[in-house]
Amino acid sequence: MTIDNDLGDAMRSLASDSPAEVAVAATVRGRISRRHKVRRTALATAAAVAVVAAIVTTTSLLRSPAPSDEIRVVSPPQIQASTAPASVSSSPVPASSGAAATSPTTTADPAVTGFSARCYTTADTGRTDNHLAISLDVPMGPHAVELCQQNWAEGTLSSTAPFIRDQPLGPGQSVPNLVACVLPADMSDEGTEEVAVFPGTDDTCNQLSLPRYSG
Amino acid sequence: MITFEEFLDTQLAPLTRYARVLTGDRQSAHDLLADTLVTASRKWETIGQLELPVAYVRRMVTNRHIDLTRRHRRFSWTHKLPEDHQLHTGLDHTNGVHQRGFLDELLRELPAPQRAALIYRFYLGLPDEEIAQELGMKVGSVRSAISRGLATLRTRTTAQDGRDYLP
Repeated sequence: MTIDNDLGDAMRSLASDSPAEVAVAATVRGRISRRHKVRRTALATAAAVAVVAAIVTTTSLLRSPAPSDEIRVVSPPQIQASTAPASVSSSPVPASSGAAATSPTTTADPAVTGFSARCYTTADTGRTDNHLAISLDVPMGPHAVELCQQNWAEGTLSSTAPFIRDQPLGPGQSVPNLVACVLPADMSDEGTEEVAVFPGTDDTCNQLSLPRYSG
Repeated sequence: MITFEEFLDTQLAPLTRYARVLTGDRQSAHDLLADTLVTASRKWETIGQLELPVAYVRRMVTNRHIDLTRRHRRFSWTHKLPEDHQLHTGLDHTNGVHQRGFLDELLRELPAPQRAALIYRFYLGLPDEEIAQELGMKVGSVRSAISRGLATLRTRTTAQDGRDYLP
């Protein structure tokens, strides 16, 4: 093959084997539609929460006794026993709903089924040069930590810049303690939740405001 | 201003073909293009007002591919290429599938910027100046990338080429 002359023809031959436009369009429209739906759902949920909060507040104000100088002290166990339904006691959700709403869920075990994951070299999701994306032909979740360990051991990953080496140092490199968290869909390459493996401890996911992956 | 839907209707076909040549396989092309278009849809208020939205989106596709190529490592536990893969047996002009596979393998071995420059030059037929503008490179860097890419391809094929791309 005379590359200069035939390369264009050969590339056009490759192009003729392209994926179906209809399929690409369907994927794009579906993902955009899901995004809008999620946004609408979030707005509707927020509105519903606001309405419920307003009703609860109004109701409690109407039911509250007349102002009194006497202040009744109620201990926390009494509050829990008198207001929480029986099923709450077996739930992993903390009894204090206020705390649950403001702190990230650190013990979640989301069903992450994607075929890719990220091996981070630093506990920082704001950079683009500190992680290696890896993928498998099977759901990645259960294998992510093992594969990231392998990349650390080969010297592909480094805790100092350059974080990703084109030429690995070779086997036997030190591997830091790793922890798996879950990246939300809007941060992942696949547009779905994705496992992200960070150097760190059990608290690292919490510090990054990410759920921990324990699948 | 062209709407995103109008853009999909008129430009999806050429972008799909471009992504296929760039990535080397249909599934990767599908994923790359879908991801890029979803991202583009979020900024369509800006992109849609450009003189050539397709050039901007094509650049997004190219940059994303280069970025992913640098950052991605793919493991395969279920599919392994046979020892006598077509890459080592040369071009088979009688079989289009094998020829495509061979060219895909050849192009995949090139660094992503070289591959992109070759595709812009030989598939899209753009002059070096426009390639430089779209890829955000200097014209000299584009020529160098094309020259090196061609040289690498030549060393991997048995055919002889009597002339050089650059003087």
